[in-house]
Amino acid sequence: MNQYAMIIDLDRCVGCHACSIACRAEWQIPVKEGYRRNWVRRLGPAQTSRGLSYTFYPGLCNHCDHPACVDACPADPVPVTFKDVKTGKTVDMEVAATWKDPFNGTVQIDKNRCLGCGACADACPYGARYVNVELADDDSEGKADKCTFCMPRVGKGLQPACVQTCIADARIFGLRDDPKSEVAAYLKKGAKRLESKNVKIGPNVYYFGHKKDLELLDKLETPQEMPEANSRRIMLAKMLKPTLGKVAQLGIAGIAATTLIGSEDKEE
Amino acid sequence: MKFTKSLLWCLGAAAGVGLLSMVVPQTVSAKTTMPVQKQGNGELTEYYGNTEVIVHKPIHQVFSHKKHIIGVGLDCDSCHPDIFKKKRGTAKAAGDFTMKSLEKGKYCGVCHNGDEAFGVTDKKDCITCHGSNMQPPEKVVWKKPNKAAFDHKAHVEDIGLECADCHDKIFTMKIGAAAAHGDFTMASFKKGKYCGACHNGDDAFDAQTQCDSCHFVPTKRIIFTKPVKTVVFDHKIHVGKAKILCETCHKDVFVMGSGVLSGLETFRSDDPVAKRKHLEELHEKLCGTCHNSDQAFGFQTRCTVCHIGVKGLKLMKAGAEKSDSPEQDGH
Repeated sequence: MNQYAMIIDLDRCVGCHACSIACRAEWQIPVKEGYRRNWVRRLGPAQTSRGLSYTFYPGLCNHCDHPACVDACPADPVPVTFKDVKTGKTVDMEVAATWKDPFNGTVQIDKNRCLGCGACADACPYGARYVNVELADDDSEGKADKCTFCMPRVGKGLQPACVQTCIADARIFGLRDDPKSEVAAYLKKGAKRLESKNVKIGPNVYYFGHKKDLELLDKLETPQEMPEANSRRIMLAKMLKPTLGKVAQLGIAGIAATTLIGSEDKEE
Repeated sequence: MKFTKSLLWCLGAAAGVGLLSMVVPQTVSAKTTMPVQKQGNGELTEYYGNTEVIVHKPIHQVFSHKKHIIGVGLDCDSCHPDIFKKKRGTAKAAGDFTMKSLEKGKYCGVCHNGDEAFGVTDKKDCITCHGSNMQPPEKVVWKKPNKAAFDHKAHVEDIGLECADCHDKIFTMKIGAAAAHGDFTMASFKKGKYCGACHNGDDAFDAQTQCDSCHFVPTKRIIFTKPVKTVVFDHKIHVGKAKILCETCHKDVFVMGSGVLSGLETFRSDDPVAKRKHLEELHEKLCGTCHNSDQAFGFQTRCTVCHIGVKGLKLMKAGAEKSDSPEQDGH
C-alpha cells in the first residue's frame, strides 16, 4: 500500500491560518463552532527544557495506520469493492460507513450511509472529526466529516488545498513509503508523529522543527489516553437518570461545565 | 478603402469567433474536471480520487443499527455497554448468544420480549432478523440413517409454513442435527416426532405412506446371493413400468431393515418332495406374493428372468462394467 502522509514543518509555519481557510473554502465547511477539517492552534510562548518556544499546531486528520474511528462506526456493514483506477486492481472488503482505503491509506467516509451518531468523532484521540448536524435527514442524525487528504483533488493531479495555499511551504504532502518523495526525506531528517505511550495508532501527519518547538507541541497536543468509549454520552445519560442525588448531579454538571469551558478555550 | 475596411472587420469577427471557441470549451472542461460525485449503476458513491468505491447490497443484516438509532430513536447507551459490549463479535464469542438466551431476556431479548418490541418467539418475526442473512435451503438431503430428501422450498413457499413451525422445536436449525440424534427414524415419525409432527395422515400425508415422496427408489439392480447364488431384481421395472408403490412390498413381504433374506441358507435335502415343498413355500412367501400367474407371471414359469445363473451374472457384470457397476447399494 502507498500510504499518503503529510509533513508539517514548524520552522516554516507562520501561523497565518491560510490552510484552514483554504480547506473551509474548498469543501464548503460551515462556519460554526467545532466545524472544521483543518485547524491551527497557537502554542506558547512557553518555557521548555531547551528554552522559550513559540510555535503553532496545524492539525488535520492523521489518516492513521490503525484508525480508532473506523472500528467505532456502528453503521450496518456492506460488502464494498475498491478499485484502483490507475492499476485496475480491486480489493473486496466489508465496511461500515467509514474505512481505510486499501490503496492509498486514507480514511474516508461514506456520507450516504453515515448515521451521524458521532461514535467515530468520540473515538478519535486527535479530535479530527466532527458531526455536521445540519445535514441530518430521514436516514441520519447528521453526517460525520473530516479531512479526506483532498483525495478528489489529488485524483485530478492537484495538491491538497491546504498544501497548495500554504504561503511558506510548511505543509508537504506525498507518499510515505516512496523513498524518493519529499515526505520520505523529512522522515529521514527526523519528523515526528504525535504519539504517546497509550496512543499508538500510527498517525500519518508528521511534525518537523526545532526540538524545543516539538517538545512544546508534544507536551500540549499529543493525546495521552485513547478516548473512553462514549464517556460523554454515558455522562449525559447519567445526568438524566432521576435516581441520582442532587449533589451528584451538581457535581457532574460542574464537570460538564468545566470541560465545556476548557474545550472552548482550546478552540480559541 | 471600403473593401479593406470590410475585410478587416471580417477578419476581426473571425478572430473573435475563434477566441470565443477557444474560451468556451475551456470553461466546459473546467466544469467537468470539478470533483463531482460519480454515479455509475447507482452503486459508486462519492468521488474518492483514484480509488473507485463500489458499494454492493448487504448480505448480512440480522441487526440494523440504522433501524434502531434513526428509526426507533434509541441512544447508544440504551444497549451499550450494558447489554452489548462495544466491539463487533463479542456477543457471538461469549457462546450464549442463542435464541434460547434471547428468550430468557438476554441480549436482544431485553427489549424483544413481545412487550416493548416484537418477541423473539413470535412465529412471523423470524424473518425480520433472519430474512436476509439466512438463505433457506431449497432442498435438504439426509444421508443418515437413510438417504431421504426434503423439499424445503415447497414447505415454505407452496405450503406457507413459518420458520418457527418447525424450527427449533421439531428440527434444530443446523444441517445434520436431526440425523445426529439416534431416533431420527420412521418409528419416531409414527410417534409424532420429527416429520411425523405433521405427517400423521391428518395434517399431511401419513409418513408411513408415499415413501418415494422423500426416499429414493434404488436405481441399481439387486443381486441376491442367498439362499441361491444369482437372483436379480430390478426396482426400475417394478416401480417404473409396473407402477407399484414402495409400501406394496416393503410393508409385509420385504420389511425394510428386518433382514428377511439374511438368515436364509441354501436348503439341502435328499428328499426331492421336501425340497420342492420348501422352495414353493419360499417363493410364495416372497416374490410369489405377486408372481403367482395371476397378478404377474408365475414363479413356476420363466425361471430365467430372475435366476440368471453364474454365467449370466458374469455376462451381466461384463456388460454393466461399461455402463454402471452393479453394486448392491440400493438406498
